Formats: sequence, C-alpha cells, structure tokens
Amino acid sequence: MLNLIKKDFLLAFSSKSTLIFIILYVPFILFTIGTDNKFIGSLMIYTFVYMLTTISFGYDAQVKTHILLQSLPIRKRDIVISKYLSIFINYTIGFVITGSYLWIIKLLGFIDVDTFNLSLVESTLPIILLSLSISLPSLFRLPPKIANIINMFIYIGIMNFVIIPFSQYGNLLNGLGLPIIAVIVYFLSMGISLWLYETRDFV
Amino acid sequence: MRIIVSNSSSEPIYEQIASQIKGMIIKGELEEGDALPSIRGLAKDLQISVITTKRAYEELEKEGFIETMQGKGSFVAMQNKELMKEKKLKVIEEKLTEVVAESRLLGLEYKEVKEMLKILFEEE
Amino acid sequence: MLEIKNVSKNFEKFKLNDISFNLESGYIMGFIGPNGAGKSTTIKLIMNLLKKDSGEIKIFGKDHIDFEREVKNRIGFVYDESYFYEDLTINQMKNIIAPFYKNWDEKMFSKYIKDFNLDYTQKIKKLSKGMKMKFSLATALSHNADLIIMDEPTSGLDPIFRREILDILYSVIQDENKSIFFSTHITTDLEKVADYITFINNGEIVFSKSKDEVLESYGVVKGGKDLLDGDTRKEFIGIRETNVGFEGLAENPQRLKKIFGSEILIERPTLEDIMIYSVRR
Repeated sequence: MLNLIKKDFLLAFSSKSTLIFIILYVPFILFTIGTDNKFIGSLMIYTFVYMLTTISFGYDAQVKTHILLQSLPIRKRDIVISKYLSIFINYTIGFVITGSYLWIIKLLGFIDVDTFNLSLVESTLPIILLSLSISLPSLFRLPPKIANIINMFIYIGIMNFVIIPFSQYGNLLNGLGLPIIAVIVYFLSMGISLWLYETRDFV
Repeated sequence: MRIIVSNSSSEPIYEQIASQIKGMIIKGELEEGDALPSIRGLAKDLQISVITTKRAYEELEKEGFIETMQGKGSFVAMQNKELMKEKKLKVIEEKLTEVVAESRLLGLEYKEVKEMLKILFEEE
Repeated sequence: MLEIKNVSKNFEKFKLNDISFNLESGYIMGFIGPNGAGKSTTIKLIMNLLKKDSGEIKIFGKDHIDFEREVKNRIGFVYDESYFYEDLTINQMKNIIAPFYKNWDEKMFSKYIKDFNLDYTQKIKKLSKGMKMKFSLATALSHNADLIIMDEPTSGLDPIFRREILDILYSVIQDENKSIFFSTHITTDLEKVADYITFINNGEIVFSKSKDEVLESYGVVKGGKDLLDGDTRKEFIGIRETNVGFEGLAENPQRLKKIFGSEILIERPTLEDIMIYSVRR
C-alpha cells in the first residue's frame, strides 16, 4: 500500500507542469484575489489536496495506466484504500506548502497575510473529506474522461459554493456536527468505491 | 555435431532430424555414451518447436538408437554395436545378392567370383 | 499451467463463447485469429481486467481471481500498447513497478536494459514503439515469472526486431517450468517458435493443438477448375478460384489424392493459409 502512495507522489512531482503549478499557484492566487479574503488559505489547501489526490486518474484518462496497475500483483482493495488514506497525507503536504509559502511571503514583508493557525484545519478538512468522498467513487468506476469532467465540476462547485462563502463560518459548521458527518461519509464512500472498483471492467 | 533441417522438404522435420542422427550413429561419428543436445537446446538452435525435437528423440529411442535418462538427457545407446552390426551385415548381404545376380547375368561362376573377392581382400 | 474452461463473456456487439484450452508448462502457445476475433478479450479475461460471465480460469492450478495477487506475481505481461506513465523515465517507472513483485531481480533487469540498448534516464514518452515494447519485455522478464503473456507484442515492429524477440522467447523456454502465451496475427512469427497453436475466430475456438499436428492435418490443394463440382467443393474449408485454377484448404488432404489422383498438387500449409481460408469461407 505504501508503494501505491509512493507512486502517486512520484507521479505528481515528476511532471514539470505539476511542479510549475505548485510553485506558481500561491503567488498567483495572492495577486489575483488579493489578501483581504479569509478564504485564501482554505482555497489553496483545497486545491492542492484535490490535485494531489486525483492526478493519477488523469493519467488513466490519457494513457489507460489503470490497465498496467490492474495487471500487477496488486489487490484492487489496496488501490482504493491507499487512495483514501492518501487524502490525509496530501492534506498535510498541502497544508505545509501553503503555510510555508504564506509564512515566507509574510516574512519577506511583501504582503501581510493572515497565516495559519490550526483552526484552518478544522474548517477545511471536513469539507475536503466530503467533497473527495463524492468525487472518488465516480473516479474509481466511471470511464476516466467522464469521471474527470464530473470531478472538475465537483471541485469548482464546492470551491464556489462552500469554501469561499463559508470559510469564515468554519466554526459554525463544525458546531453543526460537520466533522462527524464528514467522517461517516468518508467511510461510506470508501465502501462504495471498494465495491465499484471490484466489479469494474477495465477496458 | 551437424544437423541441418530443410523447411521446404516434404519429409517432416522430426524425421529429418532422426535420420541424420541415425546416420551419424551408424557411421560411427557418434559413439555409445555420447551425449546428444537437449531437446530444448536443439529446438532453440534449429528454431523449431520443442515438440518436434521431442518426437525425433522418441523415434530414435523406440528404434533403440538412443537412451533418455530423466534429468540427465539423451545419450547414444549401448546395445548399438549389435544392432549396427546386424544392420551392416544386412547391407553387405544386400550388396552380395546384387553381385550374385550380376554375375549370373554375365555367366560368371562361383569360383571366379571367389577369386575376385580373394584378390580384393588381399589388396587391403 | 494455464487452464481456460468454458469461459464466456457477452458484449453488446460481440460474444466470447464457451472458450476452452490448456497450456502446459515448458511450451509456447501461439494464439492466432483475425482482428476482432477475441484474442485481446481473452487475455484481458485471463488477467482479470474484464469480468467473465461464466467459466473457470486457473493459472498454476489456482483460480485466477481467488489467488489473484499470488498468481500475478508469477506472470510477466507484455501488451500491444504501452500503458506506462509517459512523463516518467524508465528508471522511475521501474521503481514504481518493481516493489510490487516479490521476486524482482534487479540484476536481470539491468542486463536486459543493457542488451536492449535502453537509456534509464529516457522519458517514456520519448521512446519509440519498439523501445517501449522492449522495456515492457524487460520488466516482464525480470521478476522470475513462470508464465509470460503477450498480447500482439510484435505488431508494428520490424522483422529484425521481431526475430530478436523470438530468440529471447526461445531462451526463456529453455526452462521447462516456464510457459509463454503469445497472441498475434503475424503468424510467421509462430511458424517457427510455437509448440501449440490455438485458433480463435468470431469469439470461438476453432482448434487448439500442437503446431505440427495442425500443419500435418491440413493441406493446400491446387488444381484445375475443372476438378471442382458440387461434391468436391464440400471437401474444402475454403477455396480461391482464379482464371487459371483453384487453390483450397482441406483437412486430411491425402484422401483428396485418392479422389483426384495426380491431377492436383498438395502442399504443406502455412498458419496464415489456415487462418485465411478458415476465415474467408
């Protein structure tokens, strides 16, 4: 399972375009959207996690790499579970990248940004879990091209309707029990993905 | 060891192999106890199917020319001397029959033929 | 080593119908058939990339789904297309694949890379089709696999290279505990190297026998058109008529000699002849 997670990293960080994206994204957002908005941190983390988690499915659409994976001695179950586990690892990475970037920028005195505190985690992690829990089953089952389109819509949808408007209300939502709901949905989604992937025809 | 196989001959490949090995054994180019190439190695060298070489060796074994020992390979068989002698005797007998027939045609008698044979033996 | 029993799979426009054949260890089986006959589908069913509707597939004596991981550890596969991550280098791709195999042999892999003249640092997207295939082959042969499955590995490759592959296959099969299952529509490759031939057409197995048996039990018969009539036509599996005569494929051509005598010429068929005449009808 560790190998699968390692593979995703190798993939993410070996593509030049991905690396460029990672480097330029934070400054780009800061310049275009400005620093006044509270949702910037959430937005950045959300984007990073989404990208890191779903990039391998993008390859499946282009070169059918899932066929390679299915021919190796790997259990389908492991593929699904490792993907779900990787959300947390990707979150940590997204958090660290965003945090460090913003901190450096603040340090260099360019912009005064309200950087992190751990409350950011509270407000973003449940939503990320929820939105990926919706995306992943479709990515695991549907033909790659269709799944990627659905994925895109979910990403943009959640970003516009949830992250941006509600990041300041993070604590409110948490009071409503969002974290628990998110965890339940997460495990439900994992179960559904497992079943969908096991019964899939890979051609 | 020289085995050459023709793809365009009407003789099946396994027969070509068997008869060439047979020939080498009869002529004495292969002696008892000599190891034959493995069936897989031979298949690879000739670029043919392993089943074909197996069949050739099975033929040879059936006719008593070779012995195959599990795990060790195939070897020219021991009782060959008797078999070969018999075969060679048969060949000589056939040739002598020819000589007799020709002599009769010419009207030669046994005494004359015997003389010829004596001279030939003494020559060598 | 590879047992396929009564396997069926239904698609919208195509049906793989009750497929059965066996491959024992130590042999090479050629899997031939025209395009669309079901060769790739069969291989995908074996590798569990597609779910079969019915039937049994056993590899190394074990069910291929119940023991999927164990079985796949001992299978080396080479497909007609490269399904690798294009942005990675050969070395990176290898580092992804290798850890999944219990018996990965790094030394063997380096040797193949060297023999094939491949560059570790070359990105997969920059490789030619032949080089991608060689890389595929190198990975397939570097984990001590007992069964090598190849799906049209030589299509699109030049004859020189195809011969190289055959030589490699010959070397692999020197070990009688290994088997090779090789699908192709380039039958000349199999003419030499295959021990067994399985012929599939329209989703059904036409025959599965030793190559020698196949080539001996069919014959290409050539003669004048005057020899053809309602009865004699039935003797042939397929006939091609021209202005100057006819050519047909028949089973057990010796009996035709009894019918036509010396007026016909009987020749050993090639696998291609058998395939063409069987398919064209």
